[in-house]
Amino acid sequence: MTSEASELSLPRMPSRRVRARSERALVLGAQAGSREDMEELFRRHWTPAYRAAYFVVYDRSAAEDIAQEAFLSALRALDRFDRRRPFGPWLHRIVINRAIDWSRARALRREVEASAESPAADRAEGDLGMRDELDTALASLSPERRAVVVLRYVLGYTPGEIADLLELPRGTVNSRLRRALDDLSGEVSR
Amino acid sequence: MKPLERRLRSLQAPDEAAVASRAWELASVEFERREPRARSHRGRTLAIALAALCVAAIVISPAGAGVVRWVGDRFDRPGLKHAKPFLGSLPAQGRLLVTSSDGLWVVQHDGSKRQLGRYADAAWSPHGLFIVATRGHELVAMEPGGRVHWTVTASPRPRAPVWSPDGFRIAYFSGPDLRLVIGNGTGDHLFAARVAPVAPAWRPGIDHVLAFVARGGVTAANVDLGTTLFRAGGVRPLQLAWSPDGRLLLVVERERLRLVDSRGRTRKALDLPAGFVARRAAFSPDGETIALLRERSGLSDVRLLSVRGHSWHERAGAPVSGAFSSLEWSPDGRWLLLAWPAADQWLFVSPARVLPVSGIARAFAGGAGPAAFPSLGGWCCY
Repeated sequence: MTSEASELSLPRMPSRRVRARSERALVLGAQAGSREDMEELFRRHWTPAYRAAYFVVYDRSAAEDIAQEAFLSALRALDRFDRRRPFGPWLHRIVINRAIDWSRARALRREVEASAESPAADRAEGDLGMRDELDTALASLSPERRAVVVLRYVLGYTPGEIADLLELPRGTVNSRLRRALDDLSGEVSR
Repeated sequence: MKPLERRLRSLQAPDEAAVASRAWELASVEFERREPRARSHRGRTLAIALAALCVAAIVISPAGAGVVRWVGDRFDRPGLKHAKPFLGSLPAQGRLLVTSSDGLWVVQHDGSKRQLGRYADAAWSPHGLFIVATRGHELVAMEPGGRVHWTVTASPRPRAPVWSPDGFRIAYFSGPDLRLVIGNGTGDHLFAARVAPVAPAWRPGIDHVLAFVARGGVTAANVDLGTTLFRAGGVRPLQLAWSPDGRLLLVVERERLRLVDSRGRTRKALDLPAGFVARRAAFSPDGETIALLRERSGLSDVRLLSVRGHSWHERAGAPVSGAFSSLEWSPDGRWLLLAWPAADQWLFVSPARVLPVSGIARAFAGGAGPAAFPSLGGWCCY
């Protein structure tokens, strides 16, 4: 059987030496032109970035656009990047903020264009196919709450790190998380 | 860990591998484009000096002697992998006109297609409400659904009809003659004889100014008043196109682009680098950018040039190369559609994405025999 991944153009598995390198070393190497280091940065960060974008916007084309643009922006700005800062949070912050902006813009567009439609219509208009109950429940949250859930559980940040990333008070992050989990629990167990 | 949290941690987005593959191709290209930061002091100094020279060459070039240092020509991919095997929805609003050996097709935004019949040389009316096309000796105006509104007969056969921006005039060729007909199919008459076979271009506006190529130069004339606005001699254009605001006429020659103002004066000119020839150029819908399809040794690429100012500034090029035959802007100006006959592909290109679609010839072939690659007739209207 031929797997889909084997036909796709993906970065090579880097050497053990590169895989063991710190993120700071990878950024330094990529800045100096090391393709292998850039491949490792892509391998570590692309999928979480796309996943995060998708679970905020729930539209796969938009998520692909957002994550791609964020990654390309990061590459273009690589030479100006402060090596003391971690690359991942920098990228994820761009992705999450763009995803939230995109979701808000879509909601506004829907208000103007189709005020008669139900509020749920603006969610996941592109991808209403196969969904389990958790997916559906997550899609029913506001983009801001989804973003906090995604950062916490999909990307694994602590509430303190999320507060820094989104420039929110830590209490706001905690309350959004708590309410989001309450809503999700209610929907999933219903 | 609670079951809900465990399930949240295991969420996966759709098509992660395919999306990563596309992103990796773009990221690789982007990475190749950038200059590494760490290099010797001498090398860095040289790079800065070269960059300064390039910028100076671009910015200082006077009108009529423009020279652009083309940069970033590293995209020599022989073909694009992972092309979608069928045309899904278009990435932007609007509809496409496509002419194949089996006739004329309209492709809707959702990717659905309708064959209108055995027409050729099709073009949209200004708002996409009608299509003008040819069929044998007939010039035909019809709705996008195929309902014919009128026909005009011409001999020799009509060719290359173009609708005026207000919808009230259509210009077309009949042999070497340039003829005009009113938008309702009446008043067909000869406008100019012995005209070069370059599609004429209507100036945006309501005054029916038409630019065409005849007697070794470009003429712009008001077709209703019969007055000539200007005549620019000594040029051999392949293509003419007015800017959306009607202030500038783009004259595409084999090795040179010119922007000509409404009095026929060249405001800017751009000589292509040695070995390159221009194939096609088009203003973006907002008029800010010209997309130039150029070719060297059978390999073509697309350059985006800023229209503003007295010199040429190159914006980021489309990150693809191939052997393209034509290009079209999407109505919102966010995408370029490139036709690549040898690869049997269409490429939808935006600054961040390239969406290749393969199997184009077969998609627009009615029969079971070998299918020829179709031509594009325009991507029109919201």
